[in-house]
This record gives sequence, structure tokens and C-alpha cells, in this order.
Amino acid sequence: MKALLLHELRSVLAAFRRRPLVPFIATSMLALGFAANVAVFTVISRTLLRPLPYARAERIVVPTLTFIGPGQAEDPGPAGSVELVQWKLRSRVFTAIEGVRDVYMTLRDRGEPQGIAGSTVTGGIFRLFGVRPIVGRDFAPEDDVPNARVVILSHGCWQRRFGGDANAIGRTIFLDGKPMEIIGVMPRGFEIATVDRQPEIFVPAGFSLANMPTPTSRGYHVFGRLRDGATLQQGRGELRRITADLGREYPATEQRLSADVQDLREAGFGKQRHALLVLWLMVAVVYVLACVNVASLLSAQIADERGITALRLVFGAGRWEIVRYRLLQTLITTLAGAVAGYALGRLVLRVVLANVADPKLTNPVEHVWVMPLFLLAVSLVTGIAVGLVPALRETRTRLTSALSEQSTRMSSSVRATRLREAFIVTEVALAVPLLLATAATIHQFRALQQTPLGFDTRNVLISQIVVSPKYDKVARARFARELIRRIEAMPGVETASTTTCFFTPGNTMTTSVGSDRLPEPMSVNLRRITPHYFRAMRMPLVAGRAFTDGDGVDAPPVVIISASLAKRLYPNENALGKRVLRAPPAAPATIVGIAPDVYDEGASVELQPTYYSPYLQTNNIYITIVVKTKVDPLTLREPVRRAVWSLDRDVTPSNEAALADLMHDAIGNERLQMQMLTGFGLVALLLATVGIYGMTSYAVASRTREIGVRLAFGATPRDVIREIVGRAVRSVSIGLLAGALLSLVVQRVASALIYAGAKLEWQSVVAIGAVLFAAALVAAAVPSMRTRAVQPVWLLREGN
Amino acid sequence: MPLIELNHVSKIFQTEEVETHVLSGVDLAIERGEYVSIAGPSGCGKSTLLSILGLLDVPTSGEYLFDGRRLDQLSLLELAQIRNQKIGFIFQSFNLIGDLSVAENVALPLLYRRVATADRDAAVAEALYRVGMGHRAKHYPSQLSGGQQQRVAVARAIVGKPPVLLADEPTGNLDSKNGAAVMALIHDLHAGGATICMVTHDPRYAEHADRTVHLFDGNLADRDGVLHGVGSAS
Repeated sequence: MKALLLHELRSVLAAFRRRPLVPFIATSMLALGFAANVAVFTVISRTLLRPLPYARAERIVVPTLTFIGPGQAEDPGPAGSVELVQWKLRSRVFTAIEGVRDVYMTLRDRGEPQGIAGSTVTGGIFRLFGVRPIVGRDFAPEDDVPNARVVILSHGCWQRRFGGDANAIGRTIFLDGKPMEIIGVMPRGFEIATVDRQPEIFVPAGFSLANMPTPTSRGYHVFGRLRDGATLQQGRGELRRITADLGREYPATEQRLSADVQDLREAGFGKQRHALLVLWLMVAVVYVLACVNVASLLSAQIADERGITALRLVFGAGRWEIVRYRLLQTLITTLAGAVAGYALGRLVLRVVLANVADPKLTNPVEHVWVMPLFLLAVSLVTGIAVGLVPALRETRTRLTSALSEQSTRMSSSVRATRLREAFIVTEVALAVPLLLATAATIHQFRALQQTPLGFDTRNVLISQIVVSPKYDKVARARFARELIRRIEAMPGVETASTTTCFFTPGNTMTTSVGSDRLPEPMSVNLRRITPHYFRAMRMPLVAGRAFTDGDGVDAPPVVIISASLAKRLYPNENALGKRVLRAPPAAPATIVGIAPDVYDEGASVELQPTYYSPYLQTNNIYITIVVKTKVDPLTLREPVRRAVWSLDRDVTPSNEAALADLMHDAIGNERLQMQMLTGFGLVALLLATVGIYGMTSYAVASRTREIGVRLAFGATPRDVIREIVGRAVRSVSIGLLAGALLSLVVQRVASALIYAGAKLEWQSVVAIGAVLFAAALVAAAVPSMRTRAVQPVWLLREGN
Repeated sequence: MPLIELNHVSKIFQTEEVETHVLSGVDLAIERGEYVSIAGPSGCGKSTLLSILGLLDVPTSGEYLFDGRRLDQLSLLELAQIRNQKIGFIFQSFNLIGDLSVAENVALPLLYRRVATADRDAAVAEALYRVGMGHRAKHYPSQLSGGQQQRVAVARAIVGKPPVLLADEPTGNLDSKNGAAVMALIHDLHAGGATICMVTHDPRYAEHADRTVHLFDGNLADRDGVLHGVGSAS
């Protein structure tokens, strides 16, 4: 038995050596299919499948605050300090509720101050996650007080800045000018699930019921740990009740709020899931296309080797031996494809993720055995699925007909012809929805790229600073005015301004406003700007005036609102000169200008009604400096830094970038998705084209004798070409029709998933149809053209 | 004037190293309505000669006149028209097209003659009836026995009523009963006025012909084996 198996293995390998083209093509096609799977499965395993690095992570949930504005859907967002503290105090379903808020800090240790991503956290956050510092200690209750002077470092920060020195514990660093003692270091790989930019440093928030920061100051990522036996629904219900009570108790600030609670994995990877599901679906189709190609190749090979199989049966091979031989053949092919696909997939992933900053995607896979096991399983299933059916059919070979077919062979059987046509139809039908989805995504991305943002991104430098909390409102206004004066005095600067917009998607300040016509408040984007903002951004006002230096703390409150907000607040009226009602204690403000609607968070974020307030009147510690330059904006990075430091050595500019680059990066996720979809689409197109070409050429080759017969009975070469090409065109047409119907079904069933609102363009349908038709036409026309050059008798003989 | 006339026709197959003279200066004339059988041992060039007669191949040298027309000056289209309208083929290996039904196979010559559907269907039904296969019109070749397939092939050869019928070992793959039935069909066609040229190595069937032409090493010979051309394989 073992000897027989070895003999068969040797003969399979010998057959591969004798006729390497078929196994090479089959392996290559499978490798492409596997590579696509490896790339996507790796990303999925690093995100959706990876176990969360927290103790009993299934008990951790993510409460969010939802705003119920007039005519607005509930939009979950970060909670504020009031909600966080009240939820903590009043909840019975949770054993702990803690919060994390992103902050930019200026760190001064040795040398120049540096901007650093940090977090203010409530004291029990690490205990909630069940993670302890690996060096030093956790925050104690007495640390979580106002003006706390202790910090915990991330593992990365500890390694980079202190070389992993355990003696860093107890050292003092300066954060925003304040001395802070390092008390601990978090373990390697610790991250906060829902936070995009992982903090390097953790500082206690230090607030309580007695010491509450500004009530409207929201931005806390809240985490809760459910009591044993409590469900997510119970948690949600409880937080909604508490939030409703808060609305009654604090109507000025907590009205129209509600709460939601999400599963931690959903909250952390919900956004990626959509993109990954799309990619997974696409690679599945790509893989099926590869399998269809291999199956068609194998069928063709089995048909060619019918005589050999018959001889093996004559000499005593049993049914099982025939099946085993074929299965060995396909399994070796699929395993080789899996190995090659694994290598190719890793390479592709490395190239694609080279510019991706998301640590969730670039982290190494934790279970390295998952991928090889996955590939082994898929290749075995594929080998059996692709090889078994034709192998079983092969065992039913009629010996007499197989051995005598040399003399009385019919050119092609109905079943063989239908099988070949079915392969082509399947290839096309599967490829079409995938290619259309790719085309739609590319089209959508191109539209995104070409979306007029509403401002001029050229020659604008963006730089972010966090003004030290030691400044009060008046001092911050003075700081901003002086900073802008100094920057505008620099050579190469046309004008400068500040804003509180970060120019990145999903990172925005909001507030609630109403009007005399709209007493119910609505949520709007809030931008606190200095007078030259619209000039620096080249945003001509629709009506009214820009802010001036006169719009200061002591001046009457004024605002500029976007055109869409003007329509909402004062429908069918001129909003200029009218009032905007703001959350108390802020007094109503007069509308002095109407600004155009702009995509200042990038083209992928929907246009939001926006409210501009003079920074000199209402401000906070976050400032984004906007510098319109006459030169390359990045050349002014250092001069701007020096201008900031000339005012305060403890304020450090960070995230300096050209506005054009920020807007380019703002659609980075869409770009990555588009690139991956395009890659898989191209692979699908390649597989479909190769498959159609291969099957059509094989069909023409197997009809050589038929062509001879047709010529013998009076067909002209033109008739023959028409007949052959016509058949190929018919198969591709049926496939295109089936593919178009499939696309409609897919679009109807999963339009949000596949097309994400993108419209199918008729140009894409025509282009895809043309490529597939071209493949079929070339494959059919080239061999059929031979009929013009050779005598019919040769075709009759060749068919033997 | 003979319907078919070959003058000093030679056919040489050339490969990289070997030049094979399959036919060497063959002279042959076949009169209208004549029934000629071509006999000879395997490899003597019978099928090659029949292919040239049927315009499926061209001679390397010599002259071929069909119905008085020199064929070496005709275009591919004109040759196709002659094959379609003047010649019917019966092959040893039947050469039916597997994914066409019996009726569609038989209709093939009429299809290329652009005959209207109704006329074509009538002609196909008549031809199938004539060979006793009318009840199998909708079947596929794979559903027929060898004898039935060859009868369908005969129907296809005669459906366009060509004046010349070329048959290459038409009974070669049939048992004696089916072979006799096919030969009877060919005999009937000849009786109906068709010119028939048949390759066979079976002396029983060769005797059906008015005249037997013997081929030996690419040359015509008389019954006594005297060669009428000079040639050799080299």
C-alpha cells in the first residue's frame, strides 16, 4: 500500500515535470487566491479575531453619550465629566465605570520640550481593564485629585525616553510646565481599545463630584465593567435612566441626552468590521474564481488523459486508485499554491501596510499558527472539492469508447461543451459584481478626492499647541493674539490665525445652539477662531463680516455661522443680525457673518452645520495655528516653533503638517480600502481573463476536428471564425448578464456593505464587459484564424 | 469531359528531416455518374488522394480539374462553395459533431448554403428518412450506435444532393451487418445518379464499384500491379 502510494506520488511528480504548464498555471492562480486570503485574514486576525488583552474582557463595555437633537438621529459620542461622575456614583449594574480623555501635552525632561500624546484618566482605569503596571505602581485613590503630580508611562514611552530603565520610577518630568513624578510603567502592548492614538503618558483626571470641570467639556472615552450576571442591555437601561434623571436635575446642560452601551469589541473594531467584511467577501470571490479556473483546467486535463486512465483501468487499477491519483495531483497543486500564496500574501501585506499607522493593523499576529493552519485547511478542502468530482467521473470511463476514440471520436460531447461554457459563465458571473464593486469604490474615492473642500489647502501650515492651564481665559486670548502677531511678522507668512479645528476626521469639538425660530438646541461643530481665519483659509464669507480684534472679552458676543446652520436656525430668513441661543450661562450671541460650508475634517466626513466663535471671547486650551504662507509651508515649521517658545517655553507645537497633506491623509482609510479593493479587483480580473482565455482556447483546440468537418461540408473560414467567436461571445454574454443580475441582488441585499452608497456607472459596466469580451474574442479568434492558413484535412487529422 | 480529372498529381509531406512522397504523378479521370473504388494497402496514399479529390488538401504539383475548372486558381471561398454544393463526404470515423443533434449534424451543409429554415428542415427529414434515422432526429451522436452514426453521416453527405460523394473507408468502423447496410445506401445513391468515389481495402465492397483504382506506394497500378507513375518514399 505504502509502495503503491509512493509510486503514485512519483508518477504525479513525473507528470508535473513532463507537462509543467498546467500545474504551474493552476498553482499560480491558487497562489493569487491564497495571497489575497492571507492578506485579509491576517488583518482580520489582528483585529476582529485577536483576543482583547484585558482580564475578563467580555465583561467590559463602552458607554457613550447620545445627543437627541431636533430632526437628528442619535449620534453616540464621548461623555462629559458630569455624566462620567454621575454614572460612577449612581450605577448598580457596573462594578466600575472609568474614563479616558486624549490630551496633548508638552513634555520637558532633558533638552527641548516635545509634544506628546497623553491621556487624563480616572484613577481606576487600569484596575477596570485588569492590567497592572509592570514596573512601579498603579494610581492610588489619593493620586486622583486635582493638580495631581504623578504619571504612569506607556511601555513604548518608557523604552524610547528612558531606555527601559527601572530607575525611571520616582524621577520627575515636566508636563505642561508642571513637575510630575513617574510612578509606574504599563506592560508592553497595553492599549486602550477605542482610542485611535494610543497615549504615551497617563495623568490622573483628578475630578470628583465636589470638583467638577466645565460641565460642557466632553470627550471622555468611558469604559464600564458589568457585574457578574448583569447583561449589556441592563447596563444600557440603567445608564439611560440615570442620564434621563440628569436631564431633569440639570436641564441647562444635560437635557436631550441619552446613553448607549456597546460591546467593547464592537466599539473598538466596529468601523473596521465593515471594511474587512467587504474585503473578506472580495477575497472569497477571488478564491472561488481561482478554484473555478483550476477545476476547469483539471477537467480539461482529465479529458485529455482519458486514454491513459482507460489503460490504467485495463491493467488493473481500481476506482479508488484512480481517485487517489487525481486527489494527489490536486492536493499537491493546492498545497503548493498555499505555500506560494502565503509568501506572496505576506509580501503584499507588508507593502500595503507600510504606510499605515494604525497599531491594531501593524501589530504582529499573536497566534502565528493560525494562518498556516487556516491555509492547510483551505488547501485540503479545495484539493478535495476541486479534484474529487472529476476524479469520480473519471472512474466511470467506458473503456471501449476511451480506447477506440482515436478512430471514432466525436469532436466534442454535449456535456463537455456545456461544462466548458458553464465554467466561463461562472467565471464572468462571479467576476462582474466584484469588478463593479471595485469600479464603484474607485469612482467613489475619486469623487471624494475631487470634492471641493470649500477652502484653499495650498501653502497652509498647521500646528497644534495646548496652552498651559495656568493661563486664564483672558491670558489665553492675549497669548493667541500675540502669537499671531509674531507669526504674521515672520518673512514668508501671508497671514495667520488660530482655530480649534484639528483638520482630522472624527476629532472635532461640538456644542449645542438654538435660535428664536429653533428653541430646541441642535448639535453643531464649534470652531473658535481668531480674526484672520477666513483670510488664511481663503474662505470668502457668504455674507456679513469676519471677526476683528474688537470682538474681545468685553465686547458684545458675536458669532459667524455656516450657511447650512443659518438655514436651520432661520429658515427662509436672513440670519445676519439675529441671535444664536447658546447653552447657559453663555448669553445669546449676534450673528455677524455667514460662512460657506466646508469639509474641514476631510472630504469623508459629512458636512456639518458649524458655529464660529471669536477665540478672543470664548476659548480653551487647545489651539490649532493656521499659517498661510508665501513659501513651502513646511519650511516655516521651525520659525513657528520659535515664535511659540518665545512666548512660553512650556508650550510645544505638535502635529505640524501642511494642510494639503492633512486633507490627503484624512481620506487615508478610504484610500487604503480603495487600494486593496483595486488590488483584489485586478486579481479577479486577471483570474477571470486567464480563465476565460484558457477555457476558450481549450474549447477551440478540442473542436479542431469539428472545424475540419465544418470546412469539409462547405463552411468558409469566415463561417468558422464566426461560429467559434460567436460561441465564446454567447458564453461571456450569459456570464455578463448573470453577473449583472447578481450585482443587482448583491447591491440590494448588501449595498451598504459592498457599495457603501457608491453608484454603479454604466462606463464601468461597459469597460468590464469589454475586457472580458476581449479576452474571449482573442482566445477564440487567434486559433480559429488558423483555418485560413491550413488545409481542412490537417484539422481533421489534428483532431485525432 | 470527365467530372474529375487529375493530371500528374503529386503530394509530398515534408518534415524537418524526411520528405515523404505520398502520391507520385497520379493521373486519374472519373466520369459523371461513375462509381470508382480506390483500393490499396495501408499507407499507400488512398486517403490523401481522396482528400485532394474532396478539396480538403492541395497537391504539391500537378493539375486538378473539377467539372472542367482548374482548382489551383480558386479562392478559399470558391473552394468552400464547391465542397458545399458539389461534394458530399462520408468518413471512416463518422466525424459527427458531438454537441449537435442528429438533425443539426445533417443540416450542416445546408446551413452553409444559406438554405431557408423550412426548406432545410424538410431536406433533413427526407435525408434521415432515406437512411432510416428519421426517428432519431433529436438524439445526439453519443446516444447512437456506430452503425446509426454512420447512417447519419451518410444522410449529412447526401442532404445537399451533391453530384459527387466521397467515402473514406465508410465501413471501417462498422460490423458486417451495419457495413452492408451502409454499402446498400451508397449503392442506392449511385443508382440515383451520384458520382461516387470510395476508398476501401475490403475487396467485397470494392466490387460494388464500376471500376477499381489500385494505389501502391503513391502510384496507380492496374490489377496486375503494373505501376502507372514513378515515385518512391525517401
